[in-house]
Amino acid sequence: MFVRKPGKFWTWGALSLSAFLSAVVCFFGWQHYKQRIQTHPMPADAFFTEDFPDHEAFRLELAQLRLQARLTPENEKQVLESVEKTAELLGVPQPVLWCLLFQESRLNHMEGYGSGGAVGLGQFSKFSFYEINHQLTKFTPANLVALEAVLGRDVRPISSTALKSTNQSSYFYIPTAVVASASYLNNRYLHLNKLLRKQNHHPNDRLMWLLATLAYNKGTRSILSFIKTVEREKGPKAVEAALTDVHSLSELVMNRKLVSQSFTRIWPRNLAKTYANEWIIHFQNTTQCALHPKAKASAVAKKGENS
Amino acid sequence: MARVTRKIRLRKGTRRTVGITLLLSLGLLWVLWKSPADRSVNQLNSAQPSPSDIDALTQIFTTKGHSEFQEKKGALRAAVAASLAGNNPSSESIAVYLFPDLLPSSDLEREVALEAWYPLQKRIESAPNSESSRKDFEDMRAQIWIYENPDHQYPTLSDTAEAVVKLYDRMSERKP
Repeated sequence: MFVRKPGKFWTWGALSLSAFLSAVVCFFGWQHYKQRIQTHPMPADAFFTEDFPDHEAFRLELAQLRLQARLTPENEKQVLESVEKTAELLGVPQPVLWCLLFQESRLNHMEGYGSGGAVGLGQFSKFSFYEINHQLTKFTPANLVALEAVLGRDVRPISSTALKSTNQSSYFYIPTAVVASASYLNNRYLHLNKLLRKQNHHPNDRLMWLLATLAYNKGTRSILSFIKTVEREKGPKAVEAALTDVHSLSELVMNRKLVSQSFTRIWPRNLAKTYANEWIIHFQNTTQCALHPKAKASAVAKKGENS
Repeated sequence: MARVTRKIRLRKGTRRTVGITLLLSLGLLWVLWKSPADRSVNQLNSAQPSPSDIDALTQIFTTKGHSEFQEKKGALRAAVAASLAGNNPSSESIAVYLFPDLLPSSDLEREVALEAWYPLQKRIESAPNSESSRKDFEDMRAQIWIYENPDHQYPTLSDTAEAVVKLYDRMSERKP
């Protein structure tokens, strides 16, 4: 008499059930995602989301920060209002600026106070202050115009020594931190644009903001070294594609080997790897947070077509 | 009668100690092997320019004065120029921070350097240890840090950038 072993039956049964449940979850997840894209139609010129942060992990974190009272409603409102006003004055996309500040400090305007390291909303260091205080208008007079419009006057020198967070010259005063950080970001954007256009590149402005956030975090040299490495390894057409198409840029920027290679030209190997990992995480977070869902989806879809 | 051989067995703790000692010795040997050889102040490694050549320039400026410094800087420049064709990252970095005019016109970093720190360096070299040289140095240092620092929490510069900052710090020191 044939007797089926009970072990095998239960194993195959469990596997089949898991596969079925996974398929169901994927199906409903895809439906939800499609519905979300349809209810957030992307206008023809929209690339950045209006509903930021468009990043599940950031939304959860934001909810937690509010719950734990680490981000008060007053401070959150002040950050958002300052971001709106400053972004309009400087032409910085609001989601980019907000997501950058969230990435840098989780919107804690007192972050790093007393640490001796980087401080505040935009994680300013000694030389960031130097640029704002001495080289603010190096790339555009609009930075000073924005500073005066947001704060009512030229409040420089701005520093981290004034604790009183209502002192306008203190980087711990939220509107001051926002406009100073935005000016610093704007300088990175303008500098990169100028350098690339001088070399007859025609970068997409929106992608340049993404690169500017990387330059804010990792230095302009990291961007230029990366571009030079892409050109060396993949040719000038790959550079042009990276500067004009978000999918190409994402593929290259998140190519760990390529990024490590570009950083190894500057840093010792282990440091280069660490910075490369940070760079990739920073780019992922910024794009996930600031890009419109359809802009993100089209990049993924293109990747699927090419694979 | 069978000969009894007895294996010498080390205790576990002893085995571990011997193993660690061996590893440490190998590690020490490797570190010593990798350490750069001492350079005399007057020698430049023309085959592989490195940040230590810039440190040598700082020492030359301090001990032998401005004209000898200019002569040795010229020699370093020639060494970097010869080495650049070989796609050497160290030479490239030295060129970025000291000799950007040696970089090809297609190099994105050439433009950065020519506009940012190169003119300030020229001014410092033309009037070393003067009041104006100190202001130029502060500007130059800030621009290099902003350009290169990859870490807000633990700010750092590459060896080349750090050596260049030290050099011009020395050249712009105010003497009593």
